[in-house]
Amino acid sequence: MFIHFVYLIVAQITDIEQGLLERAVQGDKEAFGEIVVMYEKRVFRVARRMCKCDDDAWDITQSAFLKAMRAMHNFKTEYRFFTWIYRIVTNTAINYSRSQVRRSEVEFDEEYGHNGQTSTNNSVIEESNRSLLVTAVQNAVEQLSPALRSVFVLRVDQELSYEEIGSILDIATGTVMSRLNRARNSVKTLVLKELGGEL
Amino acid sequence: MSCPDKQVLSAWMDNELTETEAEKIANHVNSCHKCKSYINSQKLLETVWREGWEDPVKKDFEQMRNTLQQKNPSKKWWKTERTWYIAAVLCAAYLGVKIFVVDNAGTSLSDIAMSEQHTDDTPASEVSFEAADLEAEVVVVAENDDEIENENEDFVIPAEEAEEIVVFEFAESDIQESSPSVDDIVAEGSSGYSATGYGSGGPLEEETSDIDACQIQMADDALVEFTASDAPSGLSSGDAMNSVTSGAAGGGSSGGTDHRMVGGSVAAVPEECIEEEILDVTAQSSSADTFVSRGRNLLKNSSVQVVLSSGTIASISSTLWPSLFDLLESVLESNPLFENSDIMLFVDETGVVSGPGVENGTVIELPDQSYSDCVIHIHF
Repeated sequence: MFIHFVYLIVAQITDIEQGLLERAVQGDKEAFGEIVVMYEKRVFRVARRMCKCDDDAWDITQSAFLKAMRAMHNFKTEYRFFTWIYRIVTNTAINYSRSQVRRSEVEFDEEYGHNGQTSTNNSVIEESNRSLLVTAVQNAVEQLSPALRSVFVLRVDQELSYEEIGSILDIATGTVMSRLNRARNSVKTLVLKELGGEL
Repeated sequence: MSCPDKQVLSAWMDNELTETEAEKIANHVNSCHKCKSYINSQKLLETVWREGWEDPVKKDFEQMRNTLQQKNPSKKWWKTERTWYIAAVLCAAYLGVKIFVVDNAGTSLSDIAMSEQHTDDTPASEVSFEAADLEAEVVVVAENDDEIENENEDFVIPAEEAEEIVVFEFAESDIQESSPSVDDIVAEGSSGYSATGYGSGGPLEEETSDIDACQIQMADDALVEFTASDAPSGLSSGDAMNSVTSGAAGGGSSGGTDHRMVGGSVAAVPEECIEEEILDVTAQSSSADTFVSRGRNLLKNSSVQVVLSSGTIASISSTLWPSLFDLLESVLESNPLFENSDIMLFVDETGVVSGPGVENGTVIELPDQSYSDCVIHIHF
């Protein structure tokens, strides 16, 4: 019974979104505004995970919605809006980070990534609090190359499937898998380096 | 079983393996301390990071939405698409647009045409479009466009109300860089001007560009006029006029001036678009010798120019960007009337192309990311 109720709600929400998208494609600004409200948190979150500070994330979010707004008449409503907007925001974030002063990008090979992985000792997590770890992971993510970072954010933070990530970034599922593995290894190595211990 | 590759473990952790593969890995992980430890530490790190997220406050989102709205004040936001501005500006700069300056008594002050091709000997005052000549209705998006929108969904407003509508407002300093003709206007000693767009030929729908004339009212009461006869070949008068007014508006945006629209085909100009692109494009498009590339059979007499979002002109060839040339060929094939004319296409960051003759939603592959958001100028 409860499941049916949930399905009903989800179906209704989907219908509402579809209606809004159709109106937005026709140029209805108010409908697009409502779509912005529906997606702004997720878009901002992706943007923030992909960049170094809140200000940059707001710029990226705003820019992504502006791009979507201008290209909305080209959007085909049979496709999923979230895939489209995620593609725009990740591309915007990647371009944004490239336009900033380049930091040395870190890409570790698999061997380097082995550090610390065999340990069963949770010393670091015991000694450092969660916020330290969150910061350390965020710092590590920021040091990834844009290609690795986008895959990492979309999978680990947004919990999208490999197929969805591949569709958003226009890469093969196998590429998603290998990039994600490299990203995970790099992040872990960098976190260990920053916290000076093992996980 | 030896330990699986980390990539496979990672995929297992993400539930991305087939049932059989997953079962095999699960059995191994359950009995392998090393793999179990890897999975646990990875999960811990990722969960802490994911759950450590804090949404920004509601106020910040409201602020962003307000900014978005301000950047797109027109009702139909797709009209803000820069393609048409850039297209119009480039076409006007390339082909030439006739501009007259007349004083308030109607005497011709100077001919500051960008083109030498104008053959109309009629004095500017006689060519000028008088408000009295307006048909019953005109289409103008005015300073108070909201009110007009509310009163009339089609932006169609009575002629008597349109007469005083201000379309553009900018300061002298803002327009000095936009074009040689505008420099001349500034040299007349004006401290600023406003413009009014007029249309005739019956009610104009929002999407038409059938504008017959535009006047720019100088601070010293001189008028700069763009008339139907000034339109270069291949452009509607509305395009010609819009191109000039958009170009002139470019500087205006830097001062935070509201951008207004003349006629149905132009809506509010995005600030970043004007500042970063239109002016750059205007400046560079005058050098026709930068046009490079010769295409295939159908395109053998065509020239293609690609202006990147950075404002620079990219080199282009059919080998560098084959999908573009395929598209151009199909555009010309299905629109033979495009021959000997100029069109503009806009390619967004996802490769979606828009412009005349291009089917909605057409996507082409970009040579590289620097070509995203570029404008393509083709002379077929």
